[in-house]
Amino acid sequence: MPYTLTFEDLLEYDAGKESITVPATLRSGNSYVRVEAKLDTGSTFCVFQRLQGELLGLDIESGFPEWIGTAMGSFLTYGHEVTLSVRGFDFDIVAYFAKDESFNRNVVGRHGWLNRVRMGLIDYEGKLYLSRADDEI
Amino acid sequence: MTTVIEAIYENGVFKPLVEAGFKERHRYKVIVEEPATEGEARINGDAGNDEANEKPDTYSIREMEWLSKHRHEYPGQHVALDGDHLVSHGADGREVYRQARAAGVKVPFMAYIEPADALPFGGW
Repeated sequence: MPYTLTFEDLLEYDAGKESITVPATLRSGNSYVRVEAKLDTGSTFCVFQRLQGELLGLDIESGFPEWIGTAMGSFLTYGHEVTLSVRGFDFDIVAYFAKDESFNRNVVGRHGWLNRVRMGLIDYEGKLYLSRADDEI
Repeated sequence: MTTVIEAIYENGVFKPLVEAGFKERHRYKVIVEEPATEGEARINGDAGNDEANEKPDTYSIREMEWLSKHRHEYPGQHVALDGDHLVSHGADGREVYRQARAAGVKVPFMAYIEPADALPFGGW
């Protein structure tokens, strides 16, 4: 049985790269940072470099501590309420900032991003279709 | 209306570090404020945190296109972009960001380019 979905936006990414990346903007108060972030459907949370949180003026260690588990161990993050914008879709989320300054990745995962959007992915064409989760299909 | 820009003082004249669109021979009021010192290690809260700050472009299409074309030229480095223009790059993300701000870019687009020999990302 065929299924049909419609989407509001199409993001074309470089399918030749190792990861699917999206442009992410974080806001806290009047401060903004813009970063390249990996899309990771396997990540429970949205996790960002410590530097990005500090640029937003956040006191990183004052956030909610959260250990993130990996296949080989774990690392400590702190959660802060920020606004995450990707391609014009804005969501108030808890983003997690790594304690370790050497953590160089920004990742959008399930809570705060994937659970707020509808997404269609055609990786061999480098196409990511997006709508808000509550938009009409 | 208030516009906040960075300017450099040379030979008795303030020179804007960005194209501010001011009118020729128009009289403006200047309020002088010292920026953070260059040697300051921490730049907390420096992300365009001024009253005149507006929501930046969240699509960042030109920045993503630049990364597609030039990513391989800056392995292991942080890059700061403004549209399709590379503003600064280097191994220290803080310094790269600071240089972009000093060049007058309010909200630079920051990306870290994985080293050429980086292992594939396996998720967490």
